[in-house]
Amino acid sequence: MDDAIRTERLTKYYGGRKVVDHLDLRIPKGTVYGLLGRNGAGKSTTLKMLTGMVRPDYGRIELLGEDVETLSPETRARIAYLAEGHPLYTSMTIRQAIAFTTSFYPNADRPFVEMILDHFALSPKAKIGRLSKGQRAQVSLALALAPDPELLILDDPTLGLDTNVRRDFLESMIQIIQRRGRTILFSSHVLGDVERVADRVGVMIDGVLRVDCPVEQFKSSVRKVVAEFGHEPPEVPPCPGLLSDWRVGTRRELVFVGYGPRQRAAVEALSPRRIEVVELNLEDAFIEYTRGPRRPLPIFTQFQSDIQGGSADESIGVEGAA
Amino acid sequence: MRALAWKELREVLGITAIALACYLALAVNAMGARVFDWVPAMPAGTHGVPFLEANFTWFFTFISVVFAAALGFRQSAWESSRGTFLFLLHRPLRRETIFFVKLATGAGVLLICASLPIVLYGAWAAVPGHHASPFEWSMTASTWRLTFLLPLLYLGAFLSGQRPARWFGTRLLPLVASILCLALLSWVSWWWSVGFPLTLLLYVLLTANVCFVGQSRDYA
Repeated sequence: MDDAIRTERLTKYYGGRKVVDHLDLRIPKGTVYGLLGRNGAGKSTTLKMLTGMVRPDYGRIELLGEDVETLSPETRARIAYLAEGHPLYTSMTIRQAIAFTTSFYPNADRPFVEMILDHFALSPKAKIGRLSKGQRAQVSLALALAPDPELLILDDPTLGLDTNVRRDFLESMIQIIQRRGRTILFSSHVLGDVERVADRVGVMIDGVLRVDCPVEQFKSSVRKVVAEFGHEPPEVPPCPGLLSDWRVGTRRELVFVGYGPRQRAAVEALSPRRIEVVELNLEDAFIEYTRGPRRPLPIFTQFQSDIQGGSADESIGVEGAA
Repeated sequence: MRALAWKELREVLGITAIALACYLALAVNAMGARVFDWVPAMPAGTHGVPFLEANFTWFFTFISVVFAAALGFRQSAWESSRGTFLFLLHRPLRRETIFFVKLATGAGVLLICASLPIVLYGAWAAVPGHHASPFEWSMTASTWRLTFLLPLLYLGAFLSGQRPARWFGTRLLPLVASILCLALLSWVSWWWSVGFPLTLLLYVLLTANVCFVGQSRDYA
């Protein structure tokens, strides 16, 4: 299958900090890809590099089979980009923004844009500067879809929207996109959205793409194991795939990537009274996968010490399993 | 491209309107209307020599310099600070084309607006009986020369607004350099053989620099 997006060893430094580290990404045409990561993980920088807004220090990018460095206007016309925060010209009315945007695309589907705006109940006479964040996001989406793009790159499109608007925005996006079968790469902090929309996810941690697989595969590979001991739980020896180990009273909460027979044997060797393997949704899987060693807030530790006479939870994190 | 030019025109409309009002006030007062006499050092009355009176030149220079710098910053720094470059630069046009259209629009507006008071005041002064001194169109030469040099300042301001440097660091360097160039070129002798080609060369260099920065900088 052809790739809509392909990057090779994509690297970007800001000052001395490596924000994107040798990113190799391949997104086949027709895929809805959710790029996940904590703040500062390098998602926005990656998307900006893909659209040519930020120049990589190293590596190359191909969009729809063309190098981004020499991307022709014709190919760029087949790609839509929704930047974070939905920057639009606030002095324009929606009608002016549509006229401005569609003037660059000879095949722009203006009635389709008007249909989307109608769906969102937005008046073309409204000034963009007076719209709410949610309405601005809707206008951005409508404008992005005007040229009927083959590839959509959306940088946190639902950021700052309230739950209802977000749901509405996402439903509309899904309908529009699925009907037209386009490739979408989007980043988001709202994992529920990603779970509902994406076929595949990528997880970036400190600029490195640690996960690149179908959503279901990611969810099924991260497992939380709760081992109940009924007494002071024993220390857990190092085990392949163990991401984190958290003591909560008389039980241990262990997070594994790839919980197989070897990991099960390691947990059973501790002789717990009860073992529970918890299936995680995408949000929980992502949190467990990316959070690293757990540390209670200092104020919480102090609070627990005051109540329990100094038996606050301890944390043992195992790095590098990811 | 026409849509981009219209967008630029719409965006600089406010600044242009203010500049035009100032230019008109200057011209009207120089023609003896005495409407803006309350402004300190404003040329007034019809006794001075048109275009050679110090007050007229000073006011014209002041308005033009502020207008050129404001226009340059409005078209680059404003867009940068609002993040709308991310929207604009994704349009299917070559980046050089986008910046060239921006510059052409800005410089065009600047030149047309700055020419207006010269033409207006000159046309008035050319009619016998309007003022006490003789008038020849050649007396407008130094004002025209200043007008022709204004895009240097505009390009310097545009480049300063566009460069990803610190405001208190090197960001204003192009603006400062263009002010120096403007000051030197407005006094240079042999205008047609030295000043004019040098100005054109600086236009080309600054425009190329704007396109280069537009192409190479990160819009993070």
